[in-house]
Amino acid sequence: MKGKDQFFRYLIVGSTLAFFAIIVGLFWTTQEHLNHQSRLRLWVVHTQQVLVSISRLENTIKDVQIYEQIYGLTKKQEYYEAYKDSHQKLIEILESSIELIDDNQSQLVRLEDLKTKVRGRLAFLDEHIEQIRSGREYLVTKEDYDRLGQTGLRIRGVLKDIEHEELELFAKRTDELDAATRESFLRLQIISLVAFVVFCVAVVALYVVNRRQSRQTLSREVAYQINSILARRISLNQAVPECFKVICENLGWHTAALWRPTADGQKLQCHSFFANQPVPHFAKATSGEVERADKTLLGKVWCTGEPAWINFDVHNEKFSRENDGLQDGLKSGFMLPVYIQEKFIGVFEFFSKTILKEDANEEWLLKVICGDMAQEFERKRVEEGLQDALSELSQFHRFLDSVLQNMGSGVVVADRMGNFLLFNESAQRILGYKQIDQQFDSSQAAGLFEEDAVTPLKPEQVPLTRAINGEAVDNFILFCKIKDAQDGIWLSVNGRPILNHNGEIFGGVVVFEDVTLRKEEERRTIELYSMVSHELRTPLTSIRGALGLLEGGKAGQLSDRGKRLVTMGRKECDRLVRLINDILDVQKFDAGRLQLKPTEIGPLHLVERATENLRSLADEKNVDLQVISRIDAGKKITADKDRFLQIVTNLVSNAIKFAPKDSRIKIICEDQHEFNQIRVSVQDEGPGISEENQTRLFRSFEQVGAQANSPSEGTGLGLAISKALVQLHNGQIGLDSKEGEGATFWFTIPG
Amino acid sequence: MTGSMLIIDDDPRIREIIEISLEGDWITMTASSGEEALSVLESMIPDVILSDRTLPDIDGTELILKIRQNPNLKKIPVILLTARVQAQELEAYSQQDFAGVLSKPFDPMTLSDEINNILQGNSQD
Repeated sequence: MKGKDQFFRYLIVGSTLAFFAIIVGLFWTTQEHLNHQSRLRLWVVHTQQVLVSISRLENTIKDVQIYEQIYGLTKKQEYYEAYKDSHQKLIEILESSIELIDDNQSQLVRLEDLKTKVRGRLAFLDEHIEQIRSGREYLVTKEDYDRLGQTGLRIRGVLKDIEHEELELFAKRTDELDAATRESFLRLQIISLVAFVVFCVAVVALYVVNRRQSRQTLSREVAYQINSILARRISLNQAVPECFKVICENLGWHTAALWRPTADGQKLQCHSFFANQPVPHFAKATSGEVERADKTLLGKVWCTGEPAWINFDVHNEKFSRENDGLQDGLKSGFMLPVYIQEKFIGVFEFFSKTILKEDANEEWLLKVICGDMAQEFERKRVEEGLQDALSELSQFHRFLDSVLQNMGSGVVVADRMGNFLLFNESAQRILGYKQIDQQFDSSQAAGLFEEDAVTPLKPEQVPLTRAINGEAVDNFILFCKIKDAQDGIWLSVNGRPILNHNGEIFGGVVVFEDVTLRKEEERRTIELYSMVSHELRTPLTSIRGALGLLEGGKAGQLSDRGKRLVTMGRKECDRLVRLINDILDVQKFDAGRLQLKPTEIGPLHLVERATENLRSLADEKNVDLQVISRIDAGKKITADKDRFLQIVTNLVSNAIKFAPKDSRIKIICEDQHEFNQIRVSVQDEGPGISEENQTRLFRSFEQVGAQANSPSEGTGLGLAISKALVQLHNGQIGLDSKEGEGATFWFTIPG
Repeated sequence: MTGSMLIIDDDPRIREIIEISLEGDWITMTASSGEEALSVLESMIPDVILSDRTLPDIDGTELILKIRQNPNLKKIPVILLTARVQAQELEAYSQQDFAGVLSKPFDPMTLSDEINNILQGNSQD
């Protein structure tokens, strides 16, 4: 379409240029002719002038002669004057004639001859008239007359010759002028003809282009109208018939329909139908569903994606509505499948009461217009989807917001730039102020302290800063001094970075709770335990000291029985002290305050030392403690030295407690490279532990076994504490035993 | 070796037990309060001070600061004998200028050895 327009535009411009070129060319040559012609015209005029001048010469000669004779007869002064005038005039005419004919040599000769003759005749007449004026009788002789007559004849003869030649010249020049005029006329005729032809061509081309442009203008107009219909945001069911109306009214169609795929995409359904004037049969037939198959024309158009032209006069068995159309006077039709970005939108149908042949332009036009409509369908569909999603989202947002605002924990969200995006009501309540209008300054941590409420928090320790820097913060306890308040509060803070869809950190969120009450309760508990521990220890110190001194013989030698009794008291006292220590450990562990002080330790060395400390206890029962090393003596692991000792001591003393007399306990320390850990196992030859008891073993205050048989010396907390300590080291603790076959307690620590 | 030791404890029973425990190893004198201890220290300078943590008039941890104010007592080792032996308490003691910490209750038969260990700069390991 565009190419053709271009062609016609070029044609117009080309013919205009050619037109000018030809006109200019013709004028160029014709100019010469016209110049020539005007020169010829000058010559003709000139010749005419000469002729006139000759005839005036002749007449003037006669005048001179006549006035001379009249004066001779009348002697009146006035005739003399007249004679003189015509005499003078004759000379002037003669001179001017010579000037006129200065280009013609033969004529000049004749004129010179004429001049001499006229002068001679004038001289004669002058002489004659002078005689008359002097009053003397002048007799005109016969010779005089003859001479006058002869000169008169000669003059006339010469004049005739001149006239004759000039006449010939005149005739010749007139002919030439005539010929030249005819040729000029011919040329002008040719120019006019060429101009006319070019003009016609231009007019035709202009007409064609105009017609095409008007078609385009029309299509633009239609497209504009359709766009304005679609822009009115009415529903598609309303908009489509209106669009069809515009198309039918402007582009000469009569009926239009739109078939759209059903929800499952398997069939086509008539979505809208429009007709300029009622087409009852055809309208009725244009309904139902069409499969996506080559069986029907619509199905075929859908399948192939190719538009189809229909001529009702030519039978097409795939087009079932042919007869209905013919009954309503429809003659031709066009089916157009429309896709938007490869997505099938539907099939548009247009039918006309005139026979419309396949026309690429019309097809293109409808494709553009229907494409616009389809685009709008798609846009509306997406928009409706978006609207739904938006309302769902805003519902969800409201829901989330009410959760966020009403939850007990404070929630604060800030972006990387430090703008607060969320500062919920609990956060305001807990912190006692609004901060939503301020900026979060990650470079300071004013009013924030570590858990001890004394050490100021470093800016990089602030949970929100850490979250914004991409770190996860879990159960971080900090102390926060509220502005204008004497006391502060303890907060337990969890923080997480917030990532955007690219996985980049967008900001951070912290969730915090006021744990001041818990902290105070904890503190009171700690104080209570500390106080109880102290209050118990003070009298125990005296008791233990007194018994120790007695046992050590500082109060003189005791009887065997006395010594046995004092030792018993001292041992029970020691047990009581251990019990107090164990209870404190359990309490700390339960409160989550049991903290390790990890250092580099040599496990074998510590195992040996713990064993050594217990040797005297073992000796009492004649139990052999045997340390077996399967580990490099220089092997180091990271663990809490005191706690490691405590674990080993617990396990070994536990084993001693239940070991039969004269038995052996193996304490094996091994390096398990393959698991990247060390393992310490304590193997006894005791009664063993049944499976049901094994599970209860590591719980607090449960001592399984022969309480009745052997004097119990433990606190019942040893295994539970050991388990807690091993777990704090990220290790494992366990027991392998069968009843009657001894027991092996073991633990592992990564290293 | 026989050196002199100032024992500071408000509990007379404990003072007595310590004195008996150290009999023959140390020449001991006692004080029952911080004030008393300071007045004793004005008249004599012991080789070592064994002090309770909790005294009726002053805290053991403050007492050491007062003792250190006296230029003559700057170098005297002070051993803390305390029933407050929880982890964070021990942590706090380690920040101060104690030569060592002994916990209550103690074994009277080994007390002298433990004190010697501390004074020789030998810890248990």
